[in-house]
Amino acid sequence: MNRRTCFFLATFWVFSLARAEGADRLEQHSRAPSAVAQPLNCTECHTSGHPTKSNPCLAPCPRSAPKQGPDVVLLNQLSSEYVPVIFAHQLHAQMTQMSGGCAICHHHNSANRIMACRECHSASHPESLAKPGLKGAYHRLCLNCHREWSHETQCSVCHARRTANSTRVVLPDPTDIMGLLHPNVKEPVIKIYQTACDQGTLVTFRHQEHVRHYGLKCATCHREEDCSRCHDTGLSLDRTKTFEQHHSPCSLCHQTGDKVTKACAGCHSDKEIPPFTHKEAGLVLNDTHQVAECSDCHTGSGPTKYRDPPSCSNCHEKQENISYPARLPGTKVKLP
Amino acid sequence: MKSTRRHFFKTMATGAGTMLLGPSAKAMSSVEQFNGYPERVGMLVDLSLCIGCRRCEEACKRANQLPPVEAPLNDSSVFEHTRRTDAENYTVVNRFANPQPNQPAVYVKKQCMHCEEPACASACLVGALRKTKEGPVVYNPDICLGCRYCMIACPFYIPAYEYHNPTSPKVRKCTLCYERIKAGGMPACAEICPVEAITFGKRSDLIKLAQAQILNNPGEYQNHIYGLDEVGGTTWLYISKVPFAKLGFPTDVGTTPFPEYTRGFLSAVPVVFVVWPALLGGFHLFANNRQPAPAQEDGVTRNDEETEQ
Repeated sequence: MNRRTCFFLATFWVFSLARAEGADRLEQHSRAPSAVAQPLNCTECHTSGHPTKSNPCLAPCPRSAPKQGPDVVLLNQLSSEYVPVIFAHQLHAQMTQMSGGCAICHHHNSANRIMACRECHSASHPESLAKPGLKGAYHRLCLNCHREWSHETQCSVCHARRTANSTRVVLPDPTDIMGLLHPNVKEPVIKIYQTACDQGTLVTFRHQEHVRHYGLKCATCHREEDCSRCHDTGLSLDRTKTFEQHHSPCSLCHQTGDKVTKACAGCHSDKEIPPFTHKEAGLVLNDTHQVAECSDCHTGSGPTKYRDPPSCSNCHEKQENISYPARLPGTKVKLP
Repeated sequence: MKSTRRHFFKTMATGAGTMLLGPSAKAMSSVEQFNGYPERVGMLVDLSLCIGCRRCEEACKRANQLPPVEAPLNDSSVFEHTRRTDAENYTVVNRFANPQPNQPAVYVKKQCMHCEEPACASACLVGALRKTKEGPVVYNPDICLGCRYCMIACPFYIPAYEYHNPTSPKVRKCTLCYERIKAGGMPACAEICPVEAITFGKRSDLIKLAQAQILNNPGEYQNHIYGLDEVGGTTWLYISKVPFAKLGFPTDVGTTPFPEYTRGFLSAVPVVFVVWPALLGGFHLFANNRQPAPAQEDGVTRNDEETEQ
């Protein structure tokens, strides 16, 4: 065997090894449902150009907002004993915006389309012991949260037993079921927080004012929340949080200071502060204007829009020729 | 005569040696080293998933043609008392308060653990209980004497007796749905569990699965698989986020298989019954045979000695 033959054999061996490994990886990816019809496109599932096994950078959800999802999903793959479950998808999607997002349920999803649970979790005997079957997958996801906040694990919470009369399921009006399942969340005007600080134990948060003035959405501040925060009011959440975690909702906009500068007095006080009245702005509104929304007069843009001159033409006819500050909607008072 | 005596001493020495070695359990077990059939099945329960719906109880009763569950499944008052298995309930689910404040209660399914080396089968005089190669410990009512030694032997207090049945009472316990397993199915409780808190599979696979579950959720689970080593290993394996001692699991059962404790003694029994009679019989024969002859022999010898002198 001469030197050339040796080199040729070695090269062939290296190539055959590489091919075997590549085939292995391709075989793994061919199981991804999106790869059935079209060639593989990495960005379809991975957000990074260099996904690794330990950090695959999987795109969580192809939908940018829950609005794009269905309002109601009928879970009827396993409905032998019970009638199909009406799952208020929209409602749950909205709730998840305040904690883990869509990925709480849509885990390991491709970025191209939403995969059905049954594509991975088989309804029959699961092929892998580590992966729950469809029945287990459904129940684990639902009960993970439901048992936490409602302490309720009764089947009848979601399932109605199949009887002679209940063979057909009529999908209720989605707007109807939303109203039925989840009454409108009542927004608090102010919220008083009792803190563990030595000085300034009370923090008054003008909830309504913040939401209206700055156009805040629930999920802007309510991130990483537990369901039990709202649903299990008897529960005292004595979780240990760091200084930064405690102040994270406020520090989105406010300089919350730190332990060194101790700029606390802006929010922390020893007494409760009453809800906002227009008197604080140096103008007591008359009866007609007290019922108006802030945005009726303050139409500027940005977080400080209420500082722009109010526009009267939103309500008053142009012919009336009413303008601020020539005509005031109340009486001016001196600011303290 | 001389050769007979030598033979007798030889036999005696062998018998004494066997008797000395006999009670040594280690010597015996090293001979009978057996780690179970590799294909035997197991059941893994993840206690953090169980929701206490008691569907397993219902399915068990249906599979074993037992009277239906007494309290309806949605009646949570059954959890007010810790229940035990009995002749009509092969499995029961009990509720335990979570030692962590504000955490949901923990539900624990209790049934025969189907030990790898079952104490009940070891205690049974007639072999009515036996460990099958598939894993379940099964019961044969046709040869059962009704001595109930198995009930006393069980480290988990599981086998129950049909005290209400005066004519043909049987010992009753979970069979791990042996017939269903043999037919390629899974036990009724594992099949019905809505959250699939019970996983049925090969025991060796389930151990890997349990280890992976503990490893992949650092700090969440107790670093212990109950049943992996308890009483020498059991078919049922449990993982939990709450210490097992707080969930009614006996944690003082050790890791020695219960039959091991009695094996030394029991293996000496045949020796005692064979060697002792032989030994004593030998002494008896020796003494009986010796008596008439020595009078003559001694006389001859003495005479010989005397004549020599």
